[in-house]
Amino acid sequence: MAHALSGPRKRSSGPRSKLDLMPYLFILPAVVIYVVFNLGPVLASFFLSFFRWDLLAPTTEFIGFKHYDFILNDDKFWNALSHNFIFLLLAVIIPVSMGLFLAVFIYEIRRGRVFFRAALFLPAIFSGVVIAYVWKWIYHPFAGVLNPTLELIGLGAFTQSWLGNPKIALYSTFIAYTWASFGYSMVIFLAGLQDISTDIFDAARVDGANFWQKLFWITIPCLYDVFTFVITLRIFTAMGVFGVIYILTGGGPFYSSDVIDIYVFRMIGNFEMGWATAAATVNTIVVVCISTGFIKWREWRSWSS
Amino acid sequence: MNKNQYTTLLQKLLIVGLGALLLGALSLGAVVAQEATDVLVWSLGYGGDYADVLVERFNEAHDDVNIVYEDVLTGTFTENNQKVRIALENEAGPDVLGGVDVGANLQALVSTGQVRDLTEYYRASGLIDRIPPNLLSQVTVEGRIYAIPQNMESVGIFYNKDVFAELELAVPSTWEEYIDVLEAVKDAGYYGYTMGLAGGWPSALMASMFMYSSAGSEYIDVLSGTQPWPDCDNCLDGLNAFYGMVANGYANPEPLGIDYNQSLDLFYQGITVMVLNGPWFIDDAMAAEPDFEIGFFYLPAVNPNTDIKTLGGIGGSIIVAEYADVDAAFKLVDWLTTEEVAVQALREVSVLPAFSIEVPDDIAPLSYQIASETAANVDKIGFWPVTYLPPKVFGDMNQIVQGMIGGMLTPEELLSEMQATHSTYLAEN
Repeated sequence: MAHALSGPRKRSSGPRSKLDLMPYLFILPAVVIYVVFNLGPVLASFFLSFFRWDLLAPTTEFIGFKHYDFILNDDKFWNALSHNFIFLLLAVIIPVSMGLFLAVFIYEIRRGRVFFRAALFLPAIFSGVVIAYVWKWIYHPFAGVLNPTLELIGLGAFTQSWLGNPKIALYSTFIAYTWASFGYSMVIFLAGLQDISTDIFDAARVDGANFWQKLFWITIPCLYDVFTFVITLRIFTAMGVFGVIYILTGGGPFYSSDVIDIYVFRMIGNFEMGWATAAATVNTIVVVCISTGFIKWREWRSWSS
Repeated sequence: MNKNQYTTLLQKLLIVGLGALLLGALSLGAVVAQEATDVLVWSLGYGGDYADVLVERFNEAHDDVNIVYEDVLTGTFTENNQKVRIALENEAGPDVLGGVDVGANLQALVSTGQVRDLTEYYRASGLIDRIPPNLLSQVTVEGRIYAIPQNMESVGIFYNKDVFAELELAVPSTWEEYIDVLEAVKDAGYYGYTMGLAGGWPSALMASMFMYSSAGSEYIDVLSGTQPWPDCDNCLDGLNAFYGMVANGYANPEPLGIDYNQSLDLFYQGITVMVLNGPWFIDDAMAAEPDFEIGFFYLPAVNPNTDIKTLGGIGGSIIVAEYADVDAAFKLVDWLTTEEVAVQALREVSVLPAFSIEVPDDIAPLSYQIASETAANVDKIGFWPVTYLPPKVFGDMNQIVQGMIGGMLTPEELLSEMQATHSTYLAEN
């Protein structure tokens, strides 16, 4: 037995240099694609933010940190960034908890599991543009279904201009975002739930634990790494939200639902490439700081416990 | 060699000669066909299928020039602009391009160095006498003419003739009469003014219409940055009149909750009675097939002393690329600016040419009315705000006007906000 195990080891240690190169060769295409299509544009964007360039002119003018100075002193930038933070806060609470509860519900039921899983995941596979247009008509003040439904169920006091009221326009877009995104969280949680040993739940049942006790003392702690992944995903999508808001409100009324990506898009539309890339760079730094900080905090908590 | 042999030889020579002639003719035909010069076109300035119609007509009528039409400008306004600018810069764009926006956009295209100076062409072709000076100024950059205004648009009120007849209302000619009409319409349970500003568009255009209507050419000074926004008291009167559409209940509810297209549905359904719009609206309205007749009048002036009749401008213009074959490109331009093609376009797609023509009276009555009134008032049209304002400031203006309509800004605050936005931009650039 020992001989059988040692044989291949000896053979593999012979042409070591060749074997060591193989993994790199395999990942080379992915690295090239990543550098060309991801890292390259990010670095180019960062580089561009120090120049005045209108996308067309063959010459650029180096202006140092002037764009950053403008961006950081622009109320509209901070207004947009604050909306991203509101979106982020809501996105890590609502779609994540909805996803968790629905995953637990589907996990618990015996019949119709496949149907509910498919039905609840369905919105997540639609294009964001389609979802935005569907919600645009749901919110329509004259032909939409939301206001009449509220009146029908006795909640007529809550009917209003969902996209036209600057106080709630951002939250109306968030509802559409949630509808499109909770399905992802749900399937990831569901996959995580299936990895938890049923013995633990059986033992809890024998000990008389109720649903909430099982949820808080078994399910959520066992899904620690899944939570980290799902929340990190939400950080990225919330800080980069664009399509739903662009179609529903265009960032209005009067910038009340403006977010950074729409701010950047407006700059690009105006051929202000330097301003746009400076704003995008600041947003990237914010996203990297939040997501890295969050992941490090989770690692520290995991290690300390 | 006997007679028969001679005859046979002559017959053979004749056959060979005829064959050679035939081959020669065929070769010559092929050479002639090969000499037809291709002119690459991305847009002829007409939307929809009408571009295909024009290409077919031109190619049928010309043996020596052939339009190669590529329908690549299918994106948004911004995307199309980017495509054109980058393609011109790289000499990979169209030879002739119609539907080009003038003002800041034309200046940007000219700055590529790839837009042909048409000043001499204007003189040689006599086009200089067919285009009003105020339109010509819009295609002139640093004293040289770079584009040919192709079509002319002006904005006015389209109204539901059936409701006007039902309420026995006459078309208003003064601001007071217009308010009386709005009151009567409101009392009858309709909304007089159609407004859908979600997404921004066309907030700045509507506000500009009212500011032109009150401040006239003073508003041009404001847009050009030579007069501060808050100093324009007449602009403030115009904004107050515009805000009055909402504050007095003349406009449909939720103007910020519905977008432009959704607001037009209110008009087609007979919920609103009047809509401020341009001639492009005619095709939309025909397609919607409302069950009432539509009429048109210019918005009566808020200030009767204003020197501007309405908002409008050049709908699109033609440019020729520096790298294009000049003779071939000018043949196409000559053809596009003929009275025959222009009248056909007016008749077939309701597009009024910018160069003077005799408006035919056998076109649809609504098209005829708009075309005649636009042609008659061409020197009293206040151009689109984006002609003067940098695109960024115009984009911000859409949001700022939303702020006033939503009650977040007063008209005075709107002017201050515009001043801050405009001056910040000018300082940065």
